[in-house]
Amino acid sequence: MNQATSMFLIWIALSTVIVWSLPRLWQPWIVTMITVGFLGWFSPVSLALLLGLGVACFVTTGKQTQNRWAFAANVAVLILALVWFRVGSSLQPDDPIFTLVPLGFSYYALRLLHYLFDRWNGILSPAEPRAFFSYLFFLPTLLAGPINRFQEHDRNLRRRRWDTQNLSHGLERILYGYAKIVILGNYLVTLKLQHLIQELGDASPATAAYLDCCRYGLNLYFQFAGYSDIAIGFALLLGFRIAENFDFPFLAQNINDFWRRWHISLSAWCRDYVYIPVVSWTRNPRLGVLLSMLVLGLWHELSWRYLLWGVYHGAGIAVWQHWQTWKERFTFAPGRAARLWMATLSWAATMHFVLFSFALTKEPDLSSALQVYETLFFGWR
Amino acid sequence: MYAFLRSFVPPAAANALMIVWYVLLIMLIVALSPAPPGEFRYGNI
Repeated sequence: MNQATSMFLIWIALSTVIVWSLPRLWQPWIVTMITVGFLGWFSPVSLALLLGLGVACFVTTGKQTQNRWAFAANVAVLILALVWFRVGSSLQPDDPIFTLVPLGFSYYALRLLHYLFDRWNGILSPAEPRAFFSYLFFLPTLLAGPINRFQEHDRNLRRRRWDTQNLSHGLERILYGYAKIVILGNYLVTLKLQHLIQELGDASPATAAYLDCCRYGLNLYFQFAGYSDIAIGFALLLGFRIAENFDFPFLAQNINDFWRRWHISLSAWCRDYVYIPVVSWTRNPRLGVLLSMLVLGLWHELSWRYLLWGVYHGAGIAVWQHWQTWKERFTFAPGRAARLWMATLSWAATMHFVLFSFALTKEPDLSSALQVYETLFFGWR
Repeated sequence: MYAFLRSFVPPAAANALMIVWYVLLIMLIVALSPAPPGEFRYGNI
């Protein structure tokens, strides 16, 4: 077990003991202080940035009457800061400013934008400081999501109580999270499958490229779903219930279904704050999907390969939506066997659509990704 | 998983099996943790 893992486990244990041993009224502030301590320990510059943005947002938008310039300024500053760090880390990956500062910032920015948009739309009333800061500085979801919502956090804050069942469920989720990361992701997929792929590489480059895309996708899923399990388990230890982030994505029957099962909190964020506004302004669902997937892609990284990845998935969903409206024109009632075949074909087509998109994100640049496609389609021996 | 076990065995046996399962998982995690995390940083926590 490496030092970072041990440190994080110690942090989880200490947080749980400290939070529950202090009076209930103090607990939201203790949750905030624990995260502030964590950030201060690992990245003080990140702490200064996140705290500065959070305090500025709270002060300028905390009144009952809404000032649209304050909202617009907060949204603009957040988006510009996110773009600045994304561009910086792409152009100068070794610069300490860009490697140290963004700890937790990507998810923090999305949570803060959600709060601002919901305040602006009148869905949220001004938050109490303890709810606001414990929401933004919530250690379980700070580093890599899930992107929990303020309403959910505030409800948890009011209803949470000491419960041994939460404790045992939380510990179990953390254990399963580490099992996904270490046993399935690191050992079976990265070490064993990668070894097999390397042995295959010279004999059959196309098979090796195909299996490498499978390996990358499985590893991404086990690492990320494992981390989400740890976050959900850690939150349960503190008495907070967080929505699931993955729902067996590799069982999806179509690309739309896949995005309802993969990184659910991020796709729900894009649906609520990109897709719905774009569709209500333009009445064009295809444009809404395309822009949502572009935002989703570029949020990961500001680069050509992620731009292409966003267009690829956006086009896939748009084609699927078109297919849904087109097939309604026909009255077709297949039998049971035909339905089973169609479901299997639909699943295989969806998985290959997703699999081919992994070639774009697994390579460091677009030209290497295009080489992978060349090997995949023309490298058969 | 506990509910699944309970449909086959009595509560005491289900508890014992769950403890064995957890211990096995912890041992596997500790034994296999030097394996590299691949492309992702989530494995580092």
